[in-house]
Amino acid sequence: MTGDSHLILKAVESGDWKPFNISKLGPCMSHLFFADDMLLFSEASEGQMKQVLNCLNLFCEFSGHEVIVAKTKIFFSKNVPSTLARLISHSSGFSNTDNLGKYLRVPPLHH
Amino acid sequence: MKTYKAPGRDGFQPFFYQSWWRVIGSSVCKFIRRILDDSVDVADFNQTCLVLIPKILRPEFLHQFRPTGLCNVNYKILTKLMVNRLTNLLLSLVTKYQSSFVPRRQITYNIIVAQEIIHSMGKLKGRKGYMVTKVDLKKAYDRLKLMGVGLSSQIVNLIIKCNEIASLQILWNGTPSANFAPMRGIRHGDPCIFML
Repeated sequence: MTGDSHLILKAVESGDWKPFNISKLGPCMSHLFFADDMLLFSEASEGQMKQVLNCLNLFCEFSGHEVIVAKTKIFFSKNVPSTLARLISHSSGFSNTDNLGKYLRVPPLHH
Repeated sequence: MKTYKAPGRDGFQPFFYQSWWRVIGSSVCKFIRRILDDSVDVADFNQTCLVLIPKILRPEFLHQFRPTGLCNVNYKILTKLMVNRLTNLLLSLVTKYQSSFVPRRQITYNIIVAQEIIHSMGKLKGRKGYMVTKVDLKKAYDRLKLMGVGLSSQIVNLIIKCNEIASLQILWNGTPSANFAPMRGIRHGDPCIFML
């Protein structure tokens, strides 16, 4: 997991991966790991999705992990048009959701 | 170490080491030090029995078993020692985005940060949209491959030896099978698990 973390940070540093800014002056979040649970944050675009998949594939290749495509989910922020969301989830194979379920046994979104 | 853990292939439980430490302590210490100096091969005592514990009542497939390795106490002492030395280093090695297995980092930090980010994403306005990908990985420890992370070659060699030169025997209905060497993965409960 550490390897993947460094991989992502490198991509962020080179500008290929556009992370989520928590606030204007706050830190950027590109990923959050707990053991093999991971959340990846990025701008919503097809190019960024490609970057995410790139990192994942590279990581799986050298670590022997495998991504379960059917269980991997994408959550989009409110201002992403639904056509773009559909396009991204179609190109990646991951399903689009408005409810991420539980992360580390706690629901990350409260309604 | 728990006193009455199931013994490894040599048959000694931690109980023996703890109650007779006065007698055997110095020789155990000497032995461990010789391994760290690389003058003794780890393979000699790194023999592990593998016991398959069924997860359900009538298991039919291999994945319905949870394999448990029974290591020798000597080996456990060695791995504990290595991990204790490495944990200090870990803090500088593991990025701040990963909070498992690192002392003084808690699971709740991750939960709170994730909640905050997803909450603010739900209210986002403006041109730039963002997405969160929740990735589901297949069973990490069973299919783990080791990768070097820039440690000195001596310790990396020792770790690789501990994991790959181990000889395993499956204990099936009380009788051990033939020896075989593991290709990948890490033993469950192995203190080395810290270093993922």
